[in-house]
Amino acid sequence: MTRNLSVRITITLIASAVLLSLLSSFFFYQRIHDQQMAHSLQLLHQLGKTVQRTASIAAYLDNVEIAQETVSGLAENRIVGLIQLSSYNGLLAEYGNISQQDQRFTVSLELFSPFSPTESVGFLKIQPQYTLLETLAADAARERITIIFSYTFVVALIALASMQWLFIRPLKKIASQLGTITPGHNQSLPTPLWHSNDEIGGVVENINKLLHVVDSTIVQERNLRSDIEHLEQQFRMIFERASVSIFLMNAKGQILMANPAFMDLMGQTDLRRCQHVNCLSKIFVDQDTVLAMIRKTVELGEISERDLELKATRGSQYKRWGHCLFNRIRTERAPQHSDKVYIQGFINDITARKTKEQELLYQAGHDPLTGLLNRRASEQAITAMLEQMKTDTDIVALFIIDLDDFKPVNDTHGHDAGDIVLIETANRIKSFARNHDISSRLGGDEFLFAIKGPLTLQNVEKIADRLCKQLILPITLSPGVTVRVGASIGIALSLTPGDALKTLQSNADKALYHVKSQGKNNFAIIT
Amino acid sequence: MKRVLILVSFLSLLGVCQPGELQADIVVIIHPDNPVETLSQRQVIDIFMGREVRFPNGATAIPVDQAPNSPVRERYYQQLIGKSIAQINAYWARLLFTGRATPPRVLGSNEAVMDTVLNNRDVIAYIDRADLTDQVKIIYTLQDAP
Repeated sequence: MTRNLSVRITITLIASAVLLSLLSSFFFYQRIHDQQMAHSLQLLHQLGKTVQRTASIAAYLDNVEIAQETVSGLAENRIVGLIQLSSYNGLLAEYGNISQQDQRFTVSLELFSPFSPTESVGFLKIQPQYTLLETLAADAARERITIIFSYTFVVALIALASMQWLFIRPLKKIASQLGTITPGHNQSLPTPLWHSNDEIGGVVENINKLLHVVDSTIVQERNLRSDIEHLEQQFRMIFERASVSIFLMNAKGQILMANPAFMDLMGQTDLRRCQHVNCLSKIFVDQDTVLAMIRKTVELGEISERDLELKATRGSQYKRWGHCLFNRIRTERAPQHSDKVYIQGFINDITARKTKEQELLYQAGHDPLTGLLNRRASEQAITAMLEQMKTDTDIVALFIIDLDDFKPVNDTHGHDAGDIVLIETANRIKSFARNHDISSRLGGDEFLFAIKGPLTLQNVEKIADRLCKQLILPITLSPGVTVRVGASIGIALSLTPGDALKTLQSNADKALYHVKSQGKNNFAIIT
Repeated sequence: MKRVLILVSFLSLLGVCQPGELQADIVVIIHPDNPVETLSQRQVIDIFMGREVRFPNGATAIPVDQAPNSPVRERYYQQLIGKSIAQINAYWARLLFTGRATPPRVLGSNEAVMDTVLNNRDVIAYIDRADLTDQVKIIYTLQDAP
């Protein structure tokens, strides 16, 4: 109710009009009343003046007839209440009743001789009809007040009507039109008729300017938002569809944000379950390395990256590998505060590559047929073995094994049969080998076997003897077809660490040559 | 001398002349046997204007007037009460209907006036001193310049 402007204006105007009327009544009533009274008394005085000459004659002559005529003439006037015309010889004529009159309003005129202006001959006393005067004065005052009231109300009504017509109506119209406008649709208010050059027109014009600004701002905002959405979509595509695990964690190792690839890697669906301290390390086989990498990144701000083996997931026995990269990010706001240090991390599943690498590495170091080390790999291994020898107790024994009758088998039964012989031989040598022993196929039908430990010559001879006996056992090529090949073994011993591999090799070759020249299926040792 | 006369007449026409040099005083007269010796101006006015009908000694006073349009009458009322004949007539006209007061009896000439005064000891009249005879008693002389 109070929000309605026209009601408020109406109330204000009516209240002002009433107040103004009341105030003016209050101030004017007595004034008008008094004026009216004074006017009446003046009239009374004038009446007296009018008959003064005649009254003077009456008083001069003590003429009762003239006196009565005068008095009755005066009495014709209804405002006159009491008249007394008297000479010094007594009352000549009288009208009215003195008892109810107010003495204050008495008009008293001294009468002078018509022939001698200085000679007083009598008095004319007139008193008003007081109650009538009062009534007349009150009536006049009331009438005037009524006029003031009516005038004030008429003015108030006109003001109200013009206010309504010129101000409130267009304002309401503008307000309702404004209510229907949706910002961003390039709408504007029409200028109200007859108001194009006044304040209301100005308000509409300014509102339209504002609407225009709002519109263009909204359009800009909308474009910007769509750009941002587009960008966000692209970022999401990068982030969420990436095969690389991407995550953000704090200095305590708690994961703050991660992409689906990471969640897959963690085997979790809910990020909240990845927020305990150092949870990341749990998926790695070598947890200490991961923690060290993180610490290094947090403390030094360096990028650390490494290929790490991942724990096998349940139901799979394949090894998995991940390439981890940690990068420290500081927020610009509080670079001093360690809580504001974040680690950006990437884990790329490199299992396939790593498998391939290992395969290649294996192939590079192994004989594909027998699975034993090849020459190059075994030479590296023996060099390492020689370097790791313990000074007093250890000796290294290098066996070079050459099959005796391999060529006839190859020629008679074919290459496949030759391969079977080579594989069976390799298996037999392997069965001699302990964890750190080295068994290798040097090429063709030549093999190598190396052992290290606190050995005696007798130990070595015993091994060589047993090896010879193993290798002469028959080999089944196919059901019912067997061959015996046998082997000659040249052995060189190294008693001191740091002996050159070549020396050892040539000694073993010499021993082998010696065995070959003496007959087959035997061994010789050069110390 | 002739020139002076013209001038004075001219002045008198304008109403500013002092006519004393040319016109004689007006005197109020009574019968020589009347015991009244003298009257005041007010007493003369009261008798002539109807207020008083007796002399101060109680004897009846009968005022008589000169001819209505005579210069002496005009001068008399002018000098006595400063009013014109028209005003005096209006005064009497007002009183006529009351029946209580009557204006002085009007006589046609100075001779008639003198006769009336000499024949009635109650009569009081006025006359130009130039027309005066020794038989009457003067009881008031009008001052020329009131």
